[in-house]
Amino acid sequence: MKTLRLLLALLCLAAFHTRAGAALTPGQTQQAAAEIDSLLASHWKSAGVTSNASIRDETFVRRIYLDLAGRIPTASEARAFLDSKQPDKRAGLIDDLLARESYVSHFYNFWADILRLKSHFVNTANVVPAAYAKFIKESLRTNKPYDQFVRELLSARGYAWDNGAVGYYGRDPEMPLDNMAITTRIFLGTRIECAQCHDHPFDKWKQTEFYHLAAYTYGNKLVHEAFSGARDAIRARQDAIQDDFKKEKAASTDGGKAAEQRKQERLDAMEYRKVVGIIKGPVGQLFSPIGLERKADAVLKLPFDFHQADGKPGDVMRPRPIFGTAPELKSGDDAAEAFARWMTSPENPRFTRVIVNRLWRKLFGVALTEPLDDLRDGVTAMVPTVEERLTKLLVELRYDQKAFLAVVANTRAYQSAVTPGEFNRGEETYHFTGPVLRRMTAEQVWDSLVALASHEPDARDLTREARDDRRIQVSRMACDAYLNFDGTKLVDMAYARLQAELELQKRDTALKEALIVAKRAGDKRKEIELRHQEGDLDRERGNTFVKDFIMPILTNLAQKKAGPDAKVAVDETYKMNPNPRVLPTETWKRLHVPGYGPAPKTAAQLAAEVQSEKQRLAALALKLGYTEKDSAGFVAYCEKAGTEWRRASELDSPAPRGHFLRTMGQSDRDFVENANPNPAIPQALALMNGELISPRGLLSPYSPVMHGVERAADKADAAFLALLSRAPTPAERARLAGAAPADLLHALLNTKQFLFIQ
Amino acid sequence: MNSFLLRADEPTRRRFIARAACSLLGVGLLPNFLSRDALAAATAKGGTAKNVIYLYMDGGMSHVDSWDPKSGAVMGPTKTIKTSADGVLLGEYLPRTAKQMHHGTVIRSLTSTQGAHEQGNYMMHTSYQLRGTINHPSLGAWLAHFRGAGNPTLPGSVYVGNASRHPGAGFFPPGLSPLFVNNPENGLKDIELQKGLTKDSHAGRMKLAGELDVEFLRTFGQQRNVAAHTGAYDGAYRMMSSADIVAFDLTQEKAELRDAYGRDAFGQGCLLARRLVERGVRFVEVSLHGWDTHSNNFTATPDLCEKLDHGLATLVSDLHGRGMLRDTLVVVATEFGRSPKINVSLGRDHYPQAFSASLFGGGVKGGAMYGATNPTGEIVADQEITIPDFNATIGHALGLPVEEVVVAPNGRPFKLADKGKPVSAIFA
Repeated sequence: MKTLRLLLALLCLAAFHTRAGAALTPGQTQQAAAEIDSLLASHWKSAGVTSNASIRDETFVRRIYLDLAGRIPTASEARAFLDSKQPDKRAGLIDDLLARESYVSHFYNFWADILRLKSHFVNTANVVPAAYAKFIKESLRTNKPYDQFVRELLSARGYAWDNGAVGYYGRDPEMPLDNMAITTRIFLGTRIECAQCHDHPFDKWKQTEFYHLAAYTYGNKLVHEAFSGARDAIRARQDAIQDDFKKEKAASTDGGKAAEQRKQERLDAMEYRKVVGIIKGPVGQLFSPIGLERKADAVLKLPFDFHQADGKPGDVMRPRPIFGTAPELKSGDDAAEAFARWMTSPENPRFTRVIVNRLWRKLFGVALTEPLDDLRDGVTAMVPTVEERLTKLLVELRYDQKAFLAVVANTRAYQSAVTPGEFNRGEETYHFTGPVLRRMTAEQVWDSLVALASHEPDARDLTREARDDRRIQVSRMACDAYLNFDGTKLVDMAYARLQAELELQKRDTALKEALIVAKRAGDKRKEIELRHQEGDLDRERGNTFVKDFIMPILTNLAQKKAGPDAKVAVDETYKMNPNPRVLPTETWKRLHVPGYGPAPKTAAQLAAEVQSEKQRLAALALKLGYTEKDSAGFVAYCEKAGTEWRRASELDSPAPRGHFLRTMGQSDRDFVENANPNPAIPQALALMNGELISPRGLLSPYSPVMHGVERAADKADAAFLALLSRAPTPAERARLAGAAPADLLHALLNTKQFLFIQ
Repeated sequence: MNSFLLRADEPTRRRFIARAACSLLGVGLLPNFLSRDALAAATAKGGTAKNVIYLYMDGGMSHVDSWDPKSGAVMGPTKTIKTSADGVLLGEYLPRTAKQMHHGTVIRSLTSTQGAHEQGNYMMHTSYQLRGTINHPSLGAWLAHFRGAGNPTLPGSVYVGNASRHPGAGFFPPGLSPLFVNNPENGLKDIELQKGLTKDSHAGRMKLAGELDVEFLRTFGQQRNVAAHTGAYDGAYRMMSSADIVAFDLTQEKAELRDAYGRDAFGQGCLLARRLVERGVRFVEVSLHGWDTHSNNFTATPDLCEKLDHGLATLVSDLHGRGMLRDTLVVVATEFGRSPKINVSLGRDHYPQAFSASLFGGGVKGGAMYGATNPTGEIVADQEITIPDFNATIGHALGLPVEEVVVAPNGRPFKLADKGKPVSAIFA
């Protein structure tokens, strides 16, 4: 019978799978939600508890926006929902929110916390993190099935521009063991990090089991360079010297002493490191690392201090799962892929269970099994029937996260009042008679304020995306340029360049000597003059480097791609780093080869874009009822909002230190889920006195919220709707008499209820 | 009095203890914890410091041009000068500091394996190697962890400077992170009322906020996180009306003294540091950027030293004059030294093998030297001291339990200075 139901469900799925975005019909979603509700109802009956009261639309609209869109609804969004007479308007809003870009933004933050996503990785260029972030957003945008998403992360390899998922291992360079401990924690809810150094004292894991598991991904290595041709050419020259040495030594009478010396002199004269420096210099910072490869010969051995009974230091550890079974690896199999298959198999008892708990916790504030990332044998869910049913459901849904979230959000339990008492995690059983009271995450607070301050609160930052895309394309271009260039020729060019650099160096040294003399003599005028000459020389160095070294390499690529007449385009509008010493690296960003991203815009095009944006905003000002006189102020306000007040997902991850997001407890993205919802004094200061909540920010007459409240017939009503999605109670209304719009908004923003999700 | 535990909310705390047990049991199997060394260190002669003013030379300060001058070719044009301490010589660019040398000890035998800025800087601040999977706490956070804030209306520690990658609180709760001040003359962020508001009008709005919350608090006021938000506002009000906020108002100092400290961000940062320490802030770091003198070392280093010299020398004499030097350890540190060999750009390159630092006040010996490099400044010849040893020494000066194991949220054990051992010979 069960099998039959599953089969039917799968058939339904197959039928609906082709429909855009919807894996379940609205009726099926409601039916699945009702099933969960009925399982909960039987649980409540046996536990002797009763359901929380159902919630009014006002509470629902604020909660569901925060949970799925990551921000409070704007006044007009709240009004539209509250005024709607549609009988199934809640289900409709759930579907609507899941289809919006704000879902991508909000769940990107959700995953950024779990994956410890950073815009800048330790000691590496930003190509991999840029491609990785793009991969995650795109996966959410296309609602990629969760199992596929995880499989792609865990089995990724190749160049970052082909596969952004390489960022998953790229996040933890040279730390495969730590990475594995985190992988099992976030995807299997299994804590084995203790077993990294010794047998787990409380759980069953042995250190050898950890090592067997880690052996699956031990072959992952970052790819740092793309000039193996040049390396081969250099190596050939070294080999030739070595061959000569062997011959000379064999023919020598002094035991090879003179030959040895000659060999060393010839090797020194090659100036290997400097030549590699020339080749690598202009691209080193730009695109290292660029991807991930698998070293088939990487072998994981037990560490030197291993002291358990089931092995000895140096023992080779073959890949083996910690539970369940996986096919024995054959030679030529990709171990990381085998690992990903084992991990994401529906047969893996913990894989589905963890994501079910994660998504449930996202909406209820408490997971069915707490904590969801320390599962052990015998640890059961607080309501096992619900966990079992949801686990089956997610498999039936083929890991469609949006369809799953829709089911949970449509339950009566979710749409019930929050439980007024406090739930003590780990001590008592929660019966899910409704969600728990949650403080907004840092991102929810920030994104809500952005929705109050910005006229386009959910806009993607296309400038930033273009910059990141350019970064990725430049790396691909540089990589291809080297791969397509003859290695021997490259090394010859590097030697020629080295000679030129030495000449420049001599002139530079002379200038610097003169500079010391001038400084010690206190001759300021001479010092300034010499510094100018130094700058000129630096520019000369940069310019000749571009002309003699970079251009031939890129021109060669352009011609291979687009024929003998192809040219390298130069972006004259690109603002280069003012430090001429890094000119060659920066130069790559100005140079365009056809086929590597859009052609550079001209200064005129850019100016026209700025102008048309200003016109667009000026038209918006008139439409919103601002006078001509206010138009310039409005445009300036919007421009500031466009650069600073963007949603958290459009800013660096994590936001820079001292940013409002960090003050409110945004994760530093060093640890898994390291966000902190606890209050601190700087949070209160930021909410009372910070710039965003000031007459320069959302208390400005140009902000959408002030605009709305100032023009409203009932200002108290308008302010309450904008911030709390409800009307004031009579008692509250009595207290608001005589309050100006700024008073109202500033006060409401500093209430506790603003920060909490009811 | 363990601030970490007190701040953590209950469930976290319980989990924390469970994890601590897991890891402690694990490390208990290793032999080197609670060893004889640890006991010896705990009973050794310590410093008298309660506070630290930590001057960080960002970029790698040339040791032979400053704290560890030599003779011969390695010096380039740099000359050597005598100091107020017999037998202690310095590079010529620190004439004012030379006059205060009787208050401090120069350490000339530091060595490190970290030759890149980010890694070196991180190691100097945390004693640990930089890893992408954990962030270790800086010294100021350790001090706050062990001792709590010195003044409840001011932050526990303050960082003055622009470095974007200070480790801050590391794995401790964010509350132990230093307050970051970019410009010492600009005061504290978000402490001023919004423009156009008076104390009364602001209080009126916040009173209204409180009244609007009455119903919400009746239902949820007992929940810990809700109650704690009320506490945060109370703390914020206290800070906004604190008399000690005046510490950030440098205009209250005499113009001559401000001039003596140097009218640049570093000098004024040193002055701010003194004003903060006076009011109970226990750890203030002031950063001086620009020491990465790969080229033009002999024009750049004199300029940088001039800033350091004004700030440091004035700070030491000012603290001494106010009777604060015994309680306050002034540290001058950097991530690594610079190559004694001068390169073709007349600069010096990164040099972690041997470098210097200096300590003033806080119970360290006055007019002393510790350790030595060889005649070319290239290798440590005597009394080698690693970065963890150096940090353990600072911890020791403060009387902190440098051997105490603290468990991070990831379940791993850490100590204030990793495996570093305090050098008690440095103390008077």
